[in-house]
Amino acid sequence: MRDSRHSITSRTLRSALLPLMILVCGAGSTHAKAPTVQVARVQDLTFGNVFPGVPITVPLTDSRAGQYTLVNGTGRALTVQLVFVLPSTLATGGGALMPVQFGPASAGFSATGSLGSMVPFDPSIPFTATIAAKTTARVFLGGTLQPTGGQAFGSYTATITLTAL
Amino acid sequence: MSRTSLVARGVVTTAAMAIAFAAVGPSPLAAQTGTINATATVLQPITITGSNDLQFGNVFPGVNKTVDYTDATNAGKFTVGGDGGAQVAVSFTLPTDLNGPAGSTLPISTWTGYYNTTNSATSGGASFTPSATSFNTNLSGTTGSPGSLYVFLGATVTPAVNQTQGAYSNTVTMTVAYTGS
Repeated sequence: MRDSRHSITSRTLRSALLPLMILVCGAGSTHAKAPTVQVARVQDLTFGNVFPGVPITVPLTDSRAGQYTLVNGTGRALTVQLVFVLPSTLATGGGALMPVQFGPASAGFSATGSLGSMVPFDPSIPFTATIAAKTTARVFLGGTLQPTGGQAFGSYTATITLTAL
Repeated sequence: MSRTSLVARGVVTTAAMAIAFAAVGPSPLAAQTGTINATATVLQPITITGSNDLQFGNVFPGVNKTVDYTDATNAGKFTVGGDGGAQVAVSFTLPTDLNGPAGSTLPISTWTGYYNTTNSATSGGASFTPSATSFNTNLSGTTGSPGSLYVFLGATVTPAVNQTQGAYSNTVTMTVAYTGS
């Protein structure tokens, strides 16, 4: 009788572990496919027309500021490090260069995506940001161009990369 | 039986907690990257050409001589090029004397000027008093196309009665810079 009951209890244990094992296997597959924050371009940082010798600044709150979205599609908050790769110059196809600068408050992170809740940060330093579950946050970027008096005319461009680690 | 059951439950609970911990513990995030471009268009640089010298010609000792900016032959004239419609700041470095033979000087003063987006010193523009203090005006045309500005200068020389005979000259410098507007 005692052995029989013990046997029943063992079966109960096995059946209890099975769902757990399945649960763990499921979690294991989540490990293999790590949760991510999707980084996407919204718009370029556009300085527009620039006069030789006249510096121009685009504030990060300006409609011409660069913008990225950070999409957390998972069911839990994710904390990421935001790391910029910033250019020091913009260039023409012909190789002319124009200095560009980013200050300690040139970038901004908005957990909600709105300018009102934006927190400025230095884009030259990694910034820790938390994005709530199923939320799209936004990163803004301004900057300053320093054209020389003899700046060659033409179209200038540079790439700015944002990585969420 | 009861003891066995309790022990068994305890083992199950412990195992489940350990497994659950492993399942929901911190997991590495995959790095994601996005790129944008920074773009700008640098407009035409400013060019300034001294199109005509301010010429007083022959001057008699003791007789003042004035060249008006409307004098098509003798007035000084600068031609400015740049981006159409752009606002520029214009200023001058003006001599107080013309330099002549053996260090002699001929005073020059009472500067007058006229600027215009067309090549006329008589209509369509505005008169001004040239000085080191800049004034703002706009080039002709619209952004993205060539723009022009014409500046005409006049002045008066006041030779002394015993003014040394000979040729006199000096440099008039006009500076033009974009204001960014």
